[in-house]
Amino acid sequence: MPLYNRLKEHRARIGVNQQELGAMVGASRQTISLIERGDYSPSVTLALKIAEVFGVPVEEVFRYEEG
Amino acid sequence: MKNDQIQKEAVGEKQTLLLSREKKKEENRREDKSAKGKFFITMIVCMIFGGFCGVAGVKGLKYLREQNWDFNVLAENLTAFWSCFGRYMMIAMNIAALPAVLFLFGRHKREIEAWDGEDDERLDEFDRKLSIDVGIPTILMLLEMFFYGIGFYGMVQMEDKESIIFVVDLILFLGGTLYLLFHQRNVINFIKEMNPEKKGSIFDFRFNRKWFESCDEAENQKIGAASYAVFRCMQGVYLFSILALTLAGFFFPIGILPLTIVGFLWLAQTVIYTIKSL
Repeated sequence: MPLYNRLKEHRARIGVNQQELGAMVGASRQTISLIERGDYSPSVTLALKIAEVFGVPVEEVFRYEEG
Repeated sequence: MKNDQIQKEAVGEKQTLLLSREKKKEENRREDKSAKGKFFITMIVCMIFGGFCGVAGVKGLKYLREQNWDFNVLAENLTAFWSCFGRYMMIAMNIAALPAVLFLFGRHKREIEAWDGEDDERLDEFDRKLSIDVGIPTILMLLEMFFYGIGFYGMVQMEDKESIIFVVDLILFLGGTLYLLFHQRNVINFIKEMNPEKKGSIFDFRFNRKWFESCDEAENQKIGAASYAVFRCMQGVYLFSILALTLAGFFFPIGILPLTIVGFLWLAQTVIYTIKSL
């Protein structure tokens, strides 16, 4: 999957677990876990919501690289 | 002047579209050509195999009849065996499998409740375990219905219709089904405690819809992928079943009911899939 992310790092920075982050962005804990592992590419809406919670631009959290 | 330019652009776009369609047509021809050989060879092999099975079946049937084989009796014996097997399987399931699912869920639940809440990754492992706790009772409930059905058929059609056996079977079936239902309720409620966003009661007839609606985008994608895997698998299963039943019709008086049911299910699946993909 060519979408890399720094979700875990940002999550640790603001001190929330997967369940809490999921509740903050309206997603399940499982989805947050899938995104962190790189097994799922979130929709633009969800990616933007996550970036907003972290208070950073979306490119800070997600990075696309040609595989 | 401006209109001329617009007209020229429109002509240009149309030409590009035609060119790309021509290119696609050429690509389609190439794809068809490369796949055609394999397809027709497979069809010919299947036809030869089908013809061989048909001839062998008719000849074999004739030979076996000459040897005084009675396929009606054989079919009756097989049905009696299968229905008896079904009944015993239902009893065995109630004795062994039902307490086992309770034990398994109890173990998983204790493990989850003992979790210190530190390592998020352990939750993925717990999810997998809870999926097993939901999946196994669902399969057992299907088997319970299936085994009761074939056991019931055997009892009504073939045996001496003793009312005590009928009552015992019915109690076992209802007991097992209710047990599994309440067990599933406990597992689902526990999953809901672990995942507060999940909605739906197992006793609600619209449970599946409510549960699906409470799933988010990644879960919906997984459900979609799983459903498509089922669709593809079942296309093969239906085809194989129709061929197998047609072939079985050579030997046994199976009637047209099994073929009708398989055909109807295949049709229903294909029609629903087509409508939902529109």
